[in-house]
Amino acid sequence: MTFAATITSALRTTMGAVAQDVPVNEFGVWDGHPTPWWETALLLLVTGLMALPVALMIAWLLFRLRFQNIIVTASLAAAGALAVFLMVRAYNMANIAKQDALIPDDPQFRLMLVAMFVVSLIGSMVFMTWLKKKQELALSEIDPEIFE
Amino acid sequence: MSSFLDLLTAFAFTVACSGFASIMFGGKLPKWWFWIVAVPLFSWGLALAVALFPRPFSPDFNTGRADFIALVFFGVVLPTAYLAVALSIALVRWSLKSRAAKK
Repeated sequence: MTFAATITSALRTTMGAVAQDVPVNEFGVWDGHPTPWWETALLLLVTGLMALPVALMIAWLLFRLRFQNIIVTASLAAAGALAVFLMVRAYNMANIAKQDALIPDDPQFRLMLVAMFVVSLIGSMVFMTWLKKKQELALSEIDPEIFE
Repeated sequence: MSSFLDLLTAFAFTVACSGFASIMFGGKLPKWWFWIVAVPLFSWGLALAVALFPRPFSPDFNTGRADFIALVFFGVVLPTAYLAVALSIALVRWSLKSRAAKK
């Protein structure tokens, strides 16, 4: 019991030291060192790609609703994907913020949102271009004589 | 409750992506979708659940770090490893089939 208490106490002290020395971010710290750049890059890539399917679905829906300007629709889709993510996160973040576990201005979280937006925007633009080409091809295959 | 929510999120993500792909493929998913794409999608769904619902803070445990490791495992390691194995098997199967067809 004493052994367990000592370990717990040591862990608490370590966590306290970590919190003092290194800026706490959403994804934690390792052995008191700041998160290495390659870990941040990996994280940004993964989170960006996870938002992409949602952005593609929104882009497709908007395309079907005749919003066919690539830049405007792709921006709306990327913003929509970000909004969905933030709405789901909001409740959870409020709970975490109550415990003062996160600094309010977490740069890593902001970077994650930027990565989500950029990946969703580029992905949606490529997807919209493909949809437009597909539509043009389908239209070109229609025999104009049937309208005469 | 939390793991149930994670599994539910992953399942919903997989179903939504598969449904969307089905629309893109003209109403029917190709046969290879279920055994090549569905597992990485489910894994991505789990990574999404980790990002959406981070663990509550604990003074005895570096929860942020644990979330990061889970995110990298479900978002990168597991899908990559599965795709490497599944695509290799698919390639071998395809080459065997095409060889049999030539004979």
